[in-house]
Amino acid sequence: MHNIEVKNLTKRYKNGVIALDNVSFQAGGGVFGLLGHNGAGKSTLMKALVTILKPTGGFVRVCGYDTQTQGEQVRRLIGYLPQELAMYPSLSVYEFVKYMAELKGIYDKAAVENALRQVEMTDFSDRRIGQLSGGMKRRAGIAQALVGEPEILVVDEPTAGLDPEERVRFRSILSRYAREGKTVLLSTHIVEDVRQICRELAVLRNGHLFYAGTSDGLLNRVEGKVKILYLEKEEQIVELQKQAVILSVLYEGSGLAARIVDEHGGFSQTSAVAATLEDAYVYCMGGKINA
Amino acid sequence: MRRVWSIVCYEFKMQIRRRAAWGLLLAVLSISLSDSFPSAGNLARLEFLSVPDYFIYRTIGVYGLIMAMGLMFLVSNCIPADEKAGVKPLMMAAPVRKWQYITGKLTAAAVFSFTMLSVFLLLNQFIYFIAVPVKPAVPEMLLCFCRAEIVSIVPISVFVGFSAASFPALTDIRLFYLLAGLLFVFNASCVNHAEGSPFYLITSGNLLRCIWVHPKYPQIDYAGVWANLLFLLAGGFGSWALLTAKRRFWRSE
Repeated sequence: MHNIEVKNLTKRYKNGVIALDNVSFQAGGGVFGLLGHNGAGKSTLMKALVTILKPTGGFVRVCGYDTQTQGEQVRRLIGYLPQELAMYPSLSVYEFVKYMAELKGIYDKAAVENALRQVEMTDFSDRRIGQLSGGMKRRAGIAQALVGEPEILVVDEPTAGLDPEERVRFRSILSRYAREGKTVLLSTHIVEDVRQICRELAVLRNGHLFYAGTSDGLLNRVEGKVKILYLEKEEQIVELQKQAVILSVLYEGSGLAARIVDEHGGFSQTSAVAATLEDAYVYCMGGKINA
Repeated sequence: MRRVWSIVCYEFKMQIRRRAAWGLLLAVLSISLSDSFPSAGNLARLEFLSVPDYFIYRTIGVYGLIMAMGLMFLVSNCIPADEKAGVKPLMMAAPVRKWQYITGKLTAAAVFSFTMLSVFLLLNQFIYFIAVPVKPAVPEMLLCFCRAEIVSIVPISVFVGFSAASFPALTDIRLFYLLAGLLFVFNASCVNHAEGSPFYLITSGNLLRCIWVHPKYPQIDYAGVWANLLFLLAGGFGSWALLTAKRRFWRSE
């Protein structure tokens, strides 16, 4: 059974901007990645999922409950970490997590302590939020989402701006939680996060669903087509753009090395290199230069 | 109701921890005492300062206004700050209803205002009691304090807490500051009048005459007292109702 079912989801704002256009996908247990550049519609989708935004069309079902007609039941099943969460600087970590737990109807101290343990914040539980580093704040944020062990965990860009050590820690918190049979919906534009912990993912581009499926499936789209071409002058990039999707361009010595997707086999003299998920993602986004 | 209680408790905790609140209290306390401290000079200058009821009347009417205005500005940010800190979406994603959130926030602001005004009054009264040459009876002082709490501090706190917490969420916070500033000017220009006062006064309206009346004007205008009480309570609860009725403030249900 799929814990999250998104069907023909559309969100059109009053100013005419279409944030989501007919998006459909399903997510089961484990970590499900939602990839897309800034403004692709990831946060809008997440807000619709956590019932704080009413879609214009389509529906979202969480564990079988419709977010529009059965919002109360949905809210009892989800833990949410929004993208921008500064929290209350004058409260301690414990107080903040306990406050959020009480708003969810959880009055058990053990549940709060368990959530803090999961994010390795027990030793800092008495510290004021205003005194925490950025990474610790994010951990306090995820702790409030984890409290009560919700069936669905919705985390919006949790690793943005974190140092590598904190990012690794964050990934392990999420994957550990998903291992317990829960569903984690992870929105990010950091491909490495998705590559490390997501079995399945969806790629959004300007409000449209570009891809939904396994990471391998996305990778297969560019497998055997990624090549490196060496150019002498910058001007050659413009010409190359007409023939292939350029993923990246690096300056090497006096020339340039362009990583491309050779869709039509026009560069048969150059051998293919191993494709990465990032290659596939940038390809989905229309290439580095075009994006 | 348990969720409302949680919001009230944590919101109050956050407000009471603000250094600015205690700074305001100390500043207004020092201004108040510099004027009404029962020193020989002040006792000679202010005819009724030896009367404890008058001291409370003066403290609330003149310096309570500065406290009330300061508190208004302090609590005005409680809902906009939630949006700024990203906590509002978090609350909307939790099983918290709009009325629970608003009631919790506004009640906390009112309780905070009540606490600060009560502490302000209590400290003033305590220092007065220590310093005044002819000691009044303690029960008399306590009775006067309780009367002031009921007839003045409670309605002021409802007005200040509810309206200051809700208006910035209803309109632009700068417009709120402008309106609050105008109200302050109106109030300040009418302070310490012995005769009947306009109903819109916050701390020095006719309600205050239930604490002390000038011997020259011993009649209490009860219609004015009710009008003043109604203004303060209706201003407070009306702000609550307006915010609760506001569409697009909370998730659509």
